[in-house]
Amino acid sequence: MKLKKLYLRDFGIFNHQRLPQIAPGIVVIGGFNRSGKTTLLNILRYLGYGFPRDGSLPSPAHEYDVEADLVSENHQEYRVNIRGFGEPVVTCLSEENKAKKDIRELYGGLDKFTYRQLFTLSLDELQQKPPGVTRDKEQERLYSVLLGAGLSQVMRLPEIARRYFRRARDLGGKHGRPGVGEFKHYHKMIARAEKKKKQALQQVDEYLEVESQIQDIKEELQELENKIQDYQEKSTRLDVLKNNYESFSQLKKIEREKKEHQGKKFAQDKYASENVQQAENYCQQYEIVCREYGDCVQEFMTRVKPRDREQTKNNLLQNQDLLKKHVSRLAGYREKVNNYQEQQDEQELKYRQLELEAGEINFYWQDNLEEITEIRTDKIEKGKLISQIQEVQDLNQQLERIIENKKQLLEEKNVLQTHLQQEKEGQPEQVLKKTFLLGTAGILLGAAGSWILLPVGLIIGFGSLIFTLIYYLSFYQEELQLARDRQQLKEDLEIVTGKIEEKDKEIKNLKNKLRPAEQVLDHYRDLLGLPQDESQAGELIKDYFVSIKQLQQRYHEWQLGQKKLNQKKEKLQEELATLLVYLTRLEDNFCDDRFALPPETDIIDYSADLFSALDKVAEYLELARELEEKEYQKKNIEQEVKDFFAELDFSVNDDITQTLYRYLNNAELAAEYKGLKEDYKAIYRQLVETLSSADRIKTAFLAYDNHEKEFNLQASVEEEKLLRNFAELCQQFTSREEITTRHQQVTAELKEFKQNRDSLKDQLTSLNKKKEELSSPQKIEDAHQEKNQARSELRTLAERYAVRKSVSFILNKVRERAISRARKDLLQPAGKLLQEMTAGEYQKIEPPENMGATNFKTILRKNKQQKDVGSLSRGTREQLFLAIRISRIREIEPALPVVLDDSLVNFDHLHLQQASEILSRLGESHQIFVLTCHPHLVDYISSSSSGAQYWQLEQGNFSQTSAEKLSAYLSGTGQKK
Amino acid sequence: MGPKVRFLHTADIHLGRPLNSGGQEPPPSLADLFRGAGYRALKSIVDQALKHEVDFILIAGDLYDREARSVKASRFLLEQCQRLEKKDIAVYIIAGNHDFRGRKREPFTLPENVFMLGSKEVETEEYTSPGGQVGARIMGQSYRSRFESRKMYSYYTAPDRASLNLGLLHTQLDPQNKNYVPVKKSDLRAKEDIHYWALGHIHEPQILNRKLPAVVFSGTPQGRDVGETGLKGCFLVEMDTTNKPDIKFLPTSPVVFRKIFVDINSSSGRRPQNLSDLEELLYERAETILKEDPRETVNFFEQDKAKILLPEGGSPVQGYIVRWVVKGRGPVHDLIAENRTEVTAEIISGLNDMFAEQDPFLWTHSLLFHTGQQLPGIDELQESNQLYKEIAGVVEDALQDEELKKELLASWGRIWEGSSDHEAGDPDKFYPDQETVEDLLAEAQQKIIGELFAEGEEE
Repeated sequence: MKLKKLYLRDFGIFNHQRLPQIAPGIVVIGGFNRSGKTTLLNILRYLGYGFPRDGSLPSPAHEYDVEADLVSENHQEYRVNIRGFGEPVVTCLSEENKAKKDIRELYGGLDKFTYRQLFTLSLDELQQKPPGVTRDKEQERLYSVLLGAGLSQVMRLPEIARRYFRRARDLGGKHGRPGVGEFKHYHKMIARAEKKKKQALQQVDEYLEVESQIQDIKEELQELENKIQDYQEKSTRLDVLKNNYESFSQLKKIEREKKEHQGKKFAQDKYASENVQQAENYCQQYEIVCREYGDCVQEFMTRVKPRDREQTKNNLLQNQDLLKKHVSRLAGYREKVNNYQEQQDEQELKYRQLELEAGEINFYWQDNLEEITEIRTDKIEKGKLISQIQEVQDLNQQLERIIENKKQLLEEKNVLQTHLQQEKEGQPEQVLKKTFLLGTAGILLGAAGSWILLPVGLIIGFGSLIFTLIYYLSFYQEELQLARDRQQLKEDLEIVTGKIEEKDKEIKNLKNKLRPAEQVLDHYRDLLGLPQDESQAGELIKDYFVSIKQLQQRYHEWQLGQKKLNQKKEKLQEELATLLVYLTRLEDNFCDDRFALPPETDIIDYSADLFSALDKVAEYLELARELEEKEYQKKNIEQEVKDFFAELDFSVNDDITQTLYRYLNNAELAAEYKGLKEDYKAIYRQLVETLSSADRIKTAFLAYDNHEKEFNLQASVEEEKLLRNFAELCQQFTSREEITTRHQQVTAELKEFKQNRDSLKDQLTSLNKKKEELSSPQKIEDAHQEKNQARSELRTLAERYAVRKSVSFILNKVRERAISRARKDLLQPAGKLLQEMTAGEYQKIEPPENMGATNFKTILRKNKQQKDVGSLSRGTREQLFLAIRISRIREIEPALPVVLDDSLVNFDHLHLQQASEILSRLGESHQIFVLTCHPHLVDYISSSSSGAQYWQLEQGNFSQTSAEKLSAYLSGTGQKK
Repeated sequence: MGPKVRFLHTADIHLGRPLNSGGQEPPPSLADLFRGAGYRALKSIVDQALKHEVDFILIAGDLYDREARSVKASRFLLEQCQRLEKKDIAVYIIAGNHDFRGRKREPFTLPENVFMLGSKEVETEEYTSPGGQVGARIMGQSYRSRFESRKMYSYYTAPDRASLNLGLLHTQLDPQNKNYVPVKKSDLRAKEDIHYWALGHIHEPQILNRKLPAVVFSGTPQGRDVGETGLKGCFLVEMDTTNKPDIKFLPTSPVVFRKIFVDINSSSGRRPQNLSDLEELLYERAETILKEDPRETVNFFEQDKAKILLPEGGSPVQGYIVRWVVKGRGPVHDLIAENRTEVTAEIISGLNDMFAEQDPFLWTHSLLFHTGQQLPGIDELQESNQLYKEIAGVVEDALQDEELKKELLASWGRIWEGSSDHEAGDPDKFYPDQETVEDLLAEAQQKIIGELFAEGEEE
């Protein structure tokens, strides 16, 4: 790619400057200082990349404005415009394709840094550390640029490598030690797991150790168990001894008592408990009977007060049947007496009732009731009497009715007479007359009127006629009716008067019939003893007759009742007399004044006394019987007791009670002795039972003198042995306290043994538990698991670390190889250029030892190696870097414009000439802008390169010129434009 | 030709050592299984021995694990040996680097059918067949310490070849490795006295020589780490003195470790666009794994399943512990790179929630992302880009050139200075085996390409 035109519209010193036809080869632009050479260098340097804002460039008048026409390798023309700090804008100038193009394509993708460092060279760029290359990174980059690993990707390699290295370092440090960075956590986890594992691995050894300890403890425990058993037996024996020492002492005591006891001589069978019980019963019964007998005697004497107890008692008992009979009848007696008295009262009441009734009928009869019986009611026929009475009554009734009718007719006659006197007399004829007169008067008036005025006459005529008619109708009929009514009244009065006369005749007839009937009735009155009083009407006579008849009947009945009552009285008196006789016979036996009998005469009236006496006798009899009963019981028991003792062959006194007590006393002694024997036996049994109550105790006592521990003995032998050993042991002690003290000692020792045993057992349990734990692989498995997990995580990190380190490693290797290749492909031709430039003084260039630095080595003709760039002269150093750059420039495609801004100023003439030669060759393929103020450089170029183009630059103005002119201008001999 | 002898060859049981199931806490049922998988494997060995009525069992070292020593393990071994004793099955054991103390200070005394060969010199036990003749001589020497540099194999000499001579040896089979009996395969093949070398130490089952003398690593009966992938078991060997042995594999491992690669590149089928797609891809893959025959993971019988004898109840495999490696380039990478730790944890949780309780189960041990940014012109880059080629060249060289690899591993830091037997080295360091180096370099390369040729940064 080459510049064809350049138009600097506004850039620093340049204002509307054109370089219209720029040569494709070497373009020499000469000018003095501040003429604009360095400004031009910067324009060309940044043409493909845009101007930087770092203030390193001269300011524009208004805005940077540069335009350049470029020709590509394939002769395509492009125009590049840069305005201000904008990106370069490329436009294709061919007719076919006006599209915009990326400037980087024209520059072959070469980056700004590389272009600057390789293609745009001032003196600065030819230093070991050019401006802007201060840090290692930049140094390294420059190194890559110079060595031709110019591909941008290779240039990126160190940076990527470093990045991955850093990342790896973050993960596991620089050296990837497990205890560093992110590894550390898992490293620690693994260490912990390892520790756990180591501990867990001890388990088997610990298990064996624990097993051995368990065996030791078991043996020790067995010994202790034996000792404990021994002491346990000892303790048991002493405990039993202690608790039964009293029993043992008691046993001994009873033994002594038995020997001296009175009851010993009594035969136990005679005083067997049932006999004793029987005797006690007798004793008790006899006592009760004696007491009750005494009570009965006492009561008999008190209540009965007999003249002689025995006799009275016997009399009562002998007559008890008869007495019982009477007593059984007593209620009957009482009933009969009551009955009799009630009937008597009733008869009396009835008689008084009859007297009253008789008095009511006829006062006379009130005190002479007997007379009523004399009236002969049997001679009167009741039927006749009744019909007679009826006849009289009928006649009287007819008479009364006719009299009543006559009275009514008389009243009616009076009324008619009154009406007749009050009624007016009627006059119809008068009315007719007046009507006629009125009629005529009317007609006349009418005629008169008609004469005067016909209508009036007519009205008057007709009006008078109408009035006459009304008058007739109103008064004539009324008068006619009045006359008729008066006539009727007269007729009625005559009829009534006739009827009254008829009634008077009837009354007279009836009175004649009544008289004989009345006389018959009077006869009856006489018969009945009634006064001849007319007032006593027929009805009364009839009732009187009926009452007398009934009274007579009832009186008769009363008389019959009275007769029966008297009979009853006699019988009752007779019965009571029998009772009285009986009681009288007993009366002498008692000296009780309360026992009083009634006289025989008023026996019924005093029957209460009689009955009371009978009650008493009955009571006495009861007492007598009780007394008799008790006497019998007493004797009976006495006999039983005698029989009982006779059977037991026990002597009996007369005094039964005493005998009984004697027997019971003996029995008590016998029982006491028996009790002692039983107590002895009981304590013995109790001891045997205590000693055999538990196997533990039995074993302890049997083992006392049995070292072979032979325990299968017969029951009786065993019992005997137990007691013997017990007694033997007891006898070793003088008191219970002594045993207690010994027991406490043994217990304390036993307790200690047991504590030791428990402690050993605890140890054993704990060891067994430990053994169990130790036999579990849990811990070792857990440790492995933990370790595996941590290792797994750590491995992931380690792999990541390895990958990152590998990235770094591979990239560094790739870069190294690139550099190595650069030695061959770049430094070799560069060495030749240097050789040429230095006229063979320097033979070779070697890459620096430290990769990434620009510390190249140079080999002199005599194969003497310089140490580094720093030891070279400035000119040689610039030649070295120029040689390297040219070598690189030749390598890079496409061929880009090269700019040299007085870069060769430090070369001596010989070297400058050589350099010019090299540039001339390079100019064949590359466009080279040589900016200089040195005329001799212009001369050298002119001599070595025929096709070079020359421009004079003065104060920012370009003018094309020739080599000679430019040389003269720069040497100050030429004419200024 | 002597009588035929039938025996089981096993080694590296590491009794009591739990499985490494990764960073997540498994549910209780799986936790129990992971702790007890080794026990189950041993029980399975004994079951198989009884079933196949073997004459004896050979255990070529590392029966115990000094790092997982426990009473339970000791008791369990006793019980299993007692089962064998009842059927007169002898057990011949040598101690390896993990149980070099052998039976010293073990809580239980093993029955008389168990023969522990000493460490002082090569010891020989004779197995007498029911007919009364010597059926086999078992020669072996135990480790006397954690490391064993003695070339003990040279002392395995038999008086004759009339009886079957079996050599029990615990070795890395690496003449350079002074820690685990330096010897090379050819040395063993050269020992004409021996008919069968029953080797232990390497956990991968390998039949290194099928002809006489057979050289066989039984491998571990139960893998314990994601490094020990595939179905594990023991060998049932039937042989006489003249013919090559008939070797069959008896799977015993209830848990199989697997490493599963999932490619997110568009070329490999569906391309996940987001994390949900990725999860779905992983779930589908997990489903496929669970349907596979575990015998597919056996690679030493050239896929001859007839030589793999499953126990009566079928496959002993109850499930898988998986390390997922997601690789390739795709849009999902950015989502992963945004928060790698959380995304990893979330996906692992999702997988475990989904498959931990299934039968067979699938437990995710870990999830590694070797992914990169989407890079459209990757093919062209591979073809023509000088820098790409340069990078690939360095990676290639780092894997091939020992010096460069050494330099690379040195840059990986102290944490990668672990021993191949991590129990022998620092527990917080890792051993960069070839596979690991390849994986990690691939990931690094992926990142570099992403950084240089894709937009934005890779991390």
